[in-house]
Amino acid sequence: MPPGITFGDFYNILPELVLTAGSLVVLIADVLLPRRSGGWLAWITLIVIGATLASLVPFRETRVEVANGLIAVDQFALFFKVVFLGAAALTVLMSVRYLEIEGASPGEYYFLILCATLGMMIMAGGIDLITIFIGLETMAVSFYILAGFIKPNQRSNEAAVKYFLLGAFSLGILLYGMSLMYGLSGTTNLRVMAMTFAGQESDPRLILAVMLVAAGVGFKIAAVPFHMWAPDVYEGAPTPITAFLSVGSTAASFAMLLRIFLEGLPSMKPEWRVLFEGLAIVTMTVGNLAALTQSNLKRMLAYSSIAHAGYVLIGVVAGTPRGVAAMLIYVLVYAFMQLGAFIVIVLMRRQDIVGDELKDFSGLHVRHPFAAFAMLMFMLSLGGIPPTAGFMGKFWLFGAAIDAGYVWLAVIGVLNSAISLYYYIRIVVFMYVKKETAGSEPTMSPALGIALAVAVIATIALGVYPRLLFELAEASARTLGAAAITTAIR
Amino acid sequence: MPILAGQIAFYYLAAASVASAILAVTRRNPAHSMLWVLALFMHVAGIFLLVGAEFLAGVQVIVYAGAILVFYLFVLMLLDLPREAAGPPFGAHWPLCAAAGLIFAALLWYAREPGLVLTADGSAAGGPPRGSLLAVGTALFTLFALPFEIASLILLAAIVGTVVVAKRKTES
Repeated sequence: MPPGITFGDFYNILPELVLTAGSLVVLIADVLLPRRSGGWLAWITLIVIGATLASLVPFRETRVEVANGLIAVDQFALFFKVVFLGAAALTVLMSVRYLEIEGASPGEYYFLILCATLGMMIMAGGIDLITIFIGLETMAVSFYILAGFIKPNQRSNEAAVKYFLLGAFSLGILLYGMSLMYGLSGTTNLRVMAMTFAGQESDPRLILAVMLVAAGVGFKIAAVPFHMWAPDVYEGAPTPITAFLSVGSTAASFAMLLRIFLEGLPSMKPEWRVLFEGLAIVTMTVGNLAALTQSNLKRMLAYSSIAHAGYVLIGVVAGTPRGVAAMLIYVLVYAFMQLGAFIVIVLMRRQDIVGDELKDFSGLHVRHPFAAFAMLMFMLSLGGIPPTAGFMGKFWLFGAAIDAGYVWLAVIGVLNSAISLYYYIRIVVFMYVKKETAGSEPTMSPALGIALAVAVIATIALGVYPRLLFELAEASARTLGAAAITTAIR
Repeated sequence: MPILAGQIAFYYLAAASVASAILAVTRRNPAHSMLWVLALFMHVAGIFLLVGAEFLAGVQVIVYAGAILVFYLFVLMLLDLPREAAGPPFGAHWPLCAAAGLIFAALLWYAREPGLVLTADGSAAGGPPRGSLLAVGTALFTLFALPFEIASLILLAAIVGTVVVAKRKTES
């Protein structure tokens, strides 16, 4: 009989334990602290995130399987964990004032953010279908509630209900695919599964499983044609949650995707490559074309995040360590620029103005030069213009595609980037060229200022000095089932 | 369990299942239909228990009688019950539905396993040994102890979420 969780396992999942304990502390502190101490709770949450980050330090070089091979502690998981925690920290920073304006209770909010982060961390580390699913569920349940957190707001309610119903449905599809994988291999462990399938000729039932899992994951990353929920949910959910959803949830789902397909199904690579190739092209193109006509910024960013999911999928199609490394870089870079754009939207939120319409941004550079400059940087980065991090991210993604022999996929990617420039630059035009300044006065707070500064500096620094990041990402990518990737390269 | 008693129990459960299924689709009042469906679920769980599939029996009660029935009840709450009860008991497509049911029954008959008989200890021949619940529980608390623990956090998040949704008013 295998043992349950050993003492060594407890050490190796230390970051997860710290985060869990910390989230409970937040929940208790909410009861103990006097009312209207949302600011304190935010700082406690940030300390918890910081402590979790610190507890990741001893695991920089670790590569072990924990708890009967259910979770892997390796650099791949580590990279994603840092991204999740960073995104969570920025989300908390931009939430403080937003919650005060909306009059929502902060205790449960911060607890659920930490819960979602924990789920993401488990997804990134999971090398067993059960762990991955449990992690996904932890994240999803937290997000269902967070999306509807602003109860008096009908759009927020709509977002929560839509996300919940479609999320539950897609989870069912994912589970169906997973159960087929389990049924055909007799194991839920992805690494054992890869060995079982190795050398087998392709089984139509396994192809069905691949399609179902891809559909389930496709929903989570909002890949076309599973993207219908994204614009409504992004627009309705509280802005910080939209930001966290589009960065954290998407990143975690990509980690899950890489684990399942590169670690568990490398033998099916020719099949899923075709599938993701099609998904990548459709997702990029539809996302960008739909974003062109949006006048609501949150909706526009929703479509743009769909398009970005399409870019990242190019890395999956390449499937090489270089492609995976490019995906990791892009996920990190995307986190900063996307979160940054949402921070600026939160800045515009006033008691009576939502501040997410395009016209709210007209003439912003007169009213608040720093916010306008930050937004300019994020838009340039999202569009992939050179001095910013977004350019380096796209450069490596398309480079990896060309390396793997997918030149025309890179060409489509570049064409799409050109289309996307139209709507990113339109915002810049509104901020810098339009004269009328009828929009809301952006209001800065220390927390928002820190968050914005971090996002801007990261967006520029990663673009100017990207070498270090690339080495880190490549080292992380290599740990992703080393055996799996070498067999996949062939 | 003596074979005779087992057989009597089986025939009772089977007959009661079929009877409650028929009653469930013929009642005019949807709420009554629901109650017959509940009876159906319970009797099917009994059949599972009889052939030694304790885990399936438990799942049948928890998932079907518990969760799925509650979902049906949610839908019922959205109906105008008096008008439903007054209307015709079947929709226009009932012959199609009946045909689908008959085809499914025929398929089951075609695919039946003739060798499946009750053994002396009441478990199905060739099935898992009695005590499959033990096997499930053992796996849950040893091999899969970690996800089991994480699942408790999902429940906690769901409880917190319920509080968030149900709280009458946020501080203003």
